[in-house]
Amino acid sequence: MSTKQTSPLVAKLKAGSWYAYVALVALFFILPLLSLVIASFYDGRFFSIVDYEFTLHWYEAALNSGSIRSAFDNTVRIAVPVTIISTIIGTGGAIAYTRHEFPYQDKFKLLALLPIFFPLILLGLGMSMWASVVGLGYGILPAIVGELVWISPIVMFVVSITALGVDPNVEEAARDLGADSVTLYTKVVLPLIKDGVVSGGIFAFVLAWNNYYIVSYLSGVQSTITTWIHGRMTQGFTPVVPAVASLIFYVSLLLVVGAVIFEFREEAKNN
Amino acid sequence: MLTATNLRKEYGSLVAVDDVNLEIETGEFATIVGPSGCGKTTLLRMLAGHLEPTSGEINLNGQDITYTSPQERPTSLVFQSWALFPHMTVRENIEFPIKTTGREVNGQVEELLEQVRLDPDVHADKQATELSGGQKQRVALARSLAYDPDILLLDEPLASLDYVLQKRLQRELADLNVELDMTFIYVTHSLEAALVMSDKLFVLDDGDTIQTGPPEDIYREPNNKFIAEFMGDANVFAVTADNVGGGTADVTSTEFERSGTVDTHLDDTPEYLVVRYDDCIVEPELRKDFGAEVHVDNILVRGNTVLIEGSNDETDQDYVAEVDFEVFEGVDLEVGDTAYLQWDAHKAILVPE
Repeated sequence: MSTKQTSPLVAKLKAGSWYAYVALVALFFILPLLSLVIASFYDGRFFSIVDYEFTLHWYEAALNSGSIRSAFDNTVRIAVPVTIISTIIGTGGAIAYTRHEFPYQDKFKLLALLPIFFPLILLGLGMSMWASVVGLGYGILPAIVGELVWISPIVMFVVSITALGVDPNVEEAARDLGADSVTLYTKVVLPLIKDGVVSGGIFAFVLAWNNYYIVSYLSGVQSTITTWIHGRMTQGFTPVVPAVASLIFYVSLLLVVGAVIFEFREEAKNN
Repeated sequence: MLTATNLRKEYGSLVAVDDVNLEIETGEFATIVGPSGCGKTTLLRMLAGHLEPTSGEINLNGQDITYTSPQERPTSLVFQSWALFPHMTVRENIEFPIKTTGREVNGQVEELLEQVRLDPDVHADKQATELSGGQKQRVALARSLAYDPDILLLDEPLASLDYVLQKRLQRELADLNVELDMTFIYVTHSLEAALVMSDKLFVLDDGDTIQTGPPEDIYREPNNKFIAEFMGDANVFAVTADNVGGGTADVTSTEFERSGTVDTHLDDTPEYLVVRYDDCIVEPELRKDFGAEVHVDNILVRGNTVLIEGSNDETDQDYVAEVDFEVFEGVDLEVGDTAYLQWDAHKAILVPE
């Protein structure tokens, strides 16, 4: 049998066009963010590429503004507990789903992942109605609860991917060798799915950090960074907006870079 | 002593283990052997406590342990995949059961590694993932021994190792069993492993034990055709038997020449004559008690033995002999020749279906 040979030139062209395509897609996605960052350093009220002048003034203004500071505080006060709690719930769910057999397992997955597939604007609306019915009200706590509903299943999904890769016999071996539940989880299961839990946690924080719809329905009078930006956009734009938007982008970026470095170090350790 | 009484496991309408009875003495090397899907792993998992039986009882030294959880049970299972903790070093793996049982770590790791013939200075502080298959197997064994179980359960832990290593580890396991005076229960589909290591064999088929006893007894006196075939590569011929009784039977067959009297260990009327490949020879003339004229289809040199495969158009039956290489050289046989594949009456085993 003869194998069809691809000429090196064709192969190079194929690889080249693939890289070009990926680069274009990446550019397409990054360009809006990039223009936001450029605008945040622009000295002027309305952005123009002509006579561009660099300034840190808007950042200064953003950091000194009381309303922005409180919006920032509120965002942190929501995102941090959401990250911690959703990581715990999501990890628990992932362990239950991937490591144990129970009745209606398939339905459990479907039900747990359902919130992800709802448009956030509807989910937020539903939650907002429900919050007043059950007397939860509006504010930081309802916003935390609302985001948990949406983010926990995503964490569960992320952790499940790692958990599925762990040999189920390892858990049985631990039991077999006398491990009680505490030992089993702290010494065997959690260390083995640690990477997934960290990824899930980062995911949770980024999603909570950037969330608009749920907090806009549930946070009530408390404004967060995203609702503050939205408010500014609809009720009078100021050049501080790009600076604030860039700030939340930097935080997300920092976490993504952190996640990549973490992944890289884990990989280096394993080799 | 470990006893299992009417142990049964059902999955819906499927009966995986069908009222099995086991009796294993302390210190014994017992092997549960059977083809894939016969229920042997299910049985072992019930003994280990990882699976609850549908009914029946497991009793260890007079104590009912049927529903005792694995972590409370004085058994330890060596998994087929070894299941070492991949995020731990060899030392941490072996220390794990010592710590869970609240004992002091005090030189046991080195002792156990030496027991499974690994150099502690070289291997103790390696990551579990850095080991070769054979080394992982040894560490898994050391880790299970560190639990200090009354019974060591082994689920085909040698299956994925190469042949030479398998043979060596089989011997080492048998030695370890004697050395530690610990009960070993080994599950395998490999007859060879069972024969080399065991004091007692349980042949399992379709979820039930079909013969129990010392391996040499089962090898020499299988209860039926299935066991005879399973216990070793053998020719199986349909026979009609007369004058069955007193330990002998007169057999005739359309599949080989001559009729004769053959010893039989069973009272049932035999339906098959079984003769192992290595109890047959191939020569131009029929000079043994039984034989068939065959057309030689294939000659496979296996090292010190030669496998000769033949067929006969009239009986529509395949015939195989495994002869020593020197014997084969003396006969001067080639593919395409016609010769007699033959055996003596005392090598034949009579079995019912």
